[in-house]
Amino acid sequence: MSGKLTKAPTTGGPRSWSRWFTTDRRWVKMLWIAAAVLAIAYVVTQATSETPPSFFVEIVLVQVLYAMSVNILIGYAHLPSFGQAAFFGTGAYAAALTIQGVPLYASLFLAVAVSGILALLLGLLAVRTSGITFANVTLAFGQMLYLIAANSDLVGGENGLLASLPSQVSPQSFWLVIVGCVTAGCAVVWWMFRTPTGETILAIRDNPERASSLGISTFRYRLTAFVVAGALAGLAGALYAFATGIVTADTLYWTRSGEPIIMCLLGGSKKFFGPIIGAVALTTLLQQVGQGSTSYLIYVGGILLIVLILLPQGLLSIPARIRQISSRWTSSGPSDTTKAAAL
Amino acid sequence: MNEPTPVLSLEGVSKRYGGNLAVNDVSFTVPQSSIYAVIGPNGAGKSTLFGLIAGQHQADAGRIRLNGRDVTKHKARTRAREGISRAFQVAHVFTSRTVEENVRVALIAAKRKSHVFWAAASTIVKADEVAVLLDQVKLGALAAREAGELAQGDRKKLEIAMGLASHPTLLLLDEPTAGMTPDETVTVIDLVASVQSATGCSVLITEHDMKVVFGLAQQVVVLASGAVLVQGTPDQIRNNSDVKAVYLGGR
Amino acid sequence: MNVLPSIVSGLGDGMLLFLIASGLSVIFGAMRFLNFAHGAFFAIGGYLTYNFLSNLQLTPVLLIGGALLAGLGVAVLAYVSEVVVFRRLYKLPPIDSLLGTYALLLLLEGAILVVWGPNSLSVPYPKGLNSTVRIGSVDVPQYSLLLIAVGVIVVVAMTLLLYKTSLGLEVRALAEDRTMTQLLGVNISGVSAKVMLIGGFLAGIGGALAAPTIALTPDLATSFIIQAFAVVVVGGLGSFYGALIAAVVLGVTQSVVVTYLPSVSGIAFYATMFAILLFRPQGILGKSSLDIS
Repeated sequence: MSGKLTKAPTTGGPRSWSRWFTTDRRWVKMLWIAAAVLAIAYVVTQATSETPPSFFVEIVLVQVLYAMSVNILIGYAHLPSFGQAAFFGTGAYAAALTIQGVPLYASLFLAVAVSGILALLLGLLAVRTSGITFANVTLAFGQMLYLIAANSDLVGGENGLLASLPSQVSPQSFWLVIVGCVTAGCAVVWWMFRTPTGETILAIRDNPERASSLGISTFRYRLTAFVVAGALAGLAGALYAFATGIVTADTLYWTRSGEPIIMCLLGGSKKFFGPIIGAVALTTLLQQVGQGSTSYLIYVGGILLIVLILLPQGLLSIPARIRQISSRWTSSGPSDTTKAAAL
Repeated sequence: MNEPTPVLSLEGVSKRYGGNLAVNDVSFTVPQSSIYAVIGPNGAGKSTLFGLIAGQHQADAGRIRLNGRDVTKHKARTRAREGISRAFQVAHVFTSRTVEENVRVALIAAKRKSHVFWAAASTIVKADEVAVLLDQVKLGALAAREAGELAQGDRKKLEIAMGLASHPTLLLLDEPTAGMTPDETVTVIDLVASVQSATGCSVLITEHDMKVVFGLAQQVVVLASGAVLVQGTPDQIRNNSDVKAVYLGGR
Repeated sequence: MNVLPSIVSGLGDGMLLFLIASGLSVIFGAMRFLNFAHGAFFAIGGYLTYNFLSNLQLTPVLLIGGALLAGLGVAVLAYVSEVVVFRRLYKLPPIDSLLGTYALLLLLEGAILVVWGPNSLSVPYPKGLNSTVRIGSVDVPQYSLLLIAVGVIVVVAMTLLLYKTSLGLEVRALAEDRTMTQLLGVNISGVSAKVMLIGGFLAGIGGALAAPTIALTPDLATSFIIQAFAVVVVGGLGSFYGALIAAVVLGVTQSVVVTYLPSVSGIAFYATMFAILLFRPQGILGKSSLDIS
């Protein structure tokens, strides 16, 4: 009902702020253009300035990519994986292990390929299950990798591995690599869900039985989603390794799988920009609170809980919520009062 | 002259659940370009039989042929490609997608183009192809609506449109008018008749509403306790004393 | 080398797992709700025991008393969580409600950090239970025997509860056919609160009895809940006896592997979980229809 109200022609009366907010959407477009211009300007200044680019912003971008990859599963395919850290961590380790022998771009490519193949292998087994069983199969797999990495001398055990950039890659050019990879990763997701493959994945999410009645193999398309998500998580992991300069087994621990899911739900997993907003918001918040502080977890848990209960569609649903609420009190004609009385 | 191959033929099909025979030795054929109905009291096995025909369930015994080909062991997905389209008792649509996108996904699947990731969906299936199907079920006006917002009757129409995307030879409609207002029922009856005559496919429906059955079907198969009780034209069924007994006793 | 000692200590560990998992499993059966925060209930049980007992000369009786008190404390916490948080999560999509309990887990873990600090605390073994006892020709740990005894008592008590009380009847009916049970007028939030109370009590006792065997650190909650999930899922979602079997299988496997192949100890647990779920996704005693997607 509220959806129809916003589309109804404006029937005289003063143009209140809420009506402008709801019916005139030009401000949204202007906001986007302004944001894009600012972002490009920021990227260029960081790449051309003498001082190295901000480490914090690099980490935010990596988290954006990781959350975006996880949202393929959480938001688009409804495969609740609690084991994406397996691919994030694999990408990180693959990058750290290969960078000594090959150039940066090849190392990043190998990280994507290795985590994609790993996702294919796990997916062939795991995607046959669904729901909570799927969540636990992926979780068990991730924990196995974590324990293997933590106990294996080959990858440095508890101490981890160094992942230092080759000397010919300056911090400024690595900054451009991060921006490029994250943009490309997000573009892949954006494009994917405009193609037949993506639309088929969305259809399976809504109704697997109908999809197979149309002759669609639900297994094949869920597997596709799982592999793409794994490969992009691997890319995020590799970028994370180079940004921090070290890879430890913690990149594989299960709470690492939980973080991006929180980001997706925080921003809104049904919208393309949801994971981006969620990743930026959560990473910034944690930065403000400070990873080491004792109240850190209380903030994360508390905010997530409040968002889930009050804004189940995520932060991006705030404009829609405002519209909903404002349309309720702007259209308080006599018909509404009788309705209210009847209630 | 040879009889043309029937679209569907069931030969002694049975399905057991636990100790019960849900479908017991059912045999009948559906000829080309016809409308048949399966009726029977609640629990007679109509929905199970539809599941067996469409491939959601596997038969324990018997043979199912589609256009002469044995499909008994085929999965639902394969049978869909071999010419069966099914509409469910509770309409199965892609609720978060628009009506247009629902039909588009069905058309893409019918063209075997679901795997395409290098081109946009809207270039693989053009808007006018979608519009043709939507007009056929008279849903053109609601193309931009989310399927989850549709009324039950419109969801059924959408499901039929998606089923028609693959040019099926057999359209299975499980209780197409369940939960509908009398007005919606009339439109769906007209729709099924017009779709059948326009596409030339065969339609097999299950139905509670005898008005619908007698208005649409050329032949009626009556199921009772999983087995075929009698088969005949609507007039024969209407006057059959066994059928009356089953319905009065079964209720 | 005799395998019996590691089997006995594995059984003991399995019973600890079972104490957490049984509550989770019964709640899932009744509510279709998997609760991450249950791990925090367990951890808080351990920490409360530390507070009750750390300055005392620990005897078995005192430990049991402390465990019961800790169980009660956690039961209250679980009840409050149900009323304040979980009740609002039931109507959300399954992934969101699971994330909601994860949020509460983080919140409670943060609270542990604030109240008890980041350093590891320990509760000693009580006097008289800190060595081994000779059975036939082998020595088995006394404490494991206590854990097994507690496990048996809990199984008996829960069986009585599930099959002899009206609450048990309602819980089993909800697990069997949710819609029908609701139509019959069973008050779901009432059942949920009571089941959460019992599950919290068991988790609290589990944490208390685990306290002497582990170091109390704030990440106890996140590390134990995963093992408890493993038990619930491997046993079969919503199956109480499935959880019992799974806890024993996983506990004993882990313990035997630790003895003979210490290098792959932790991995064996997850490998077993992984393998069982792939070959039998519905779990040992589960019905596949119970999973939510």
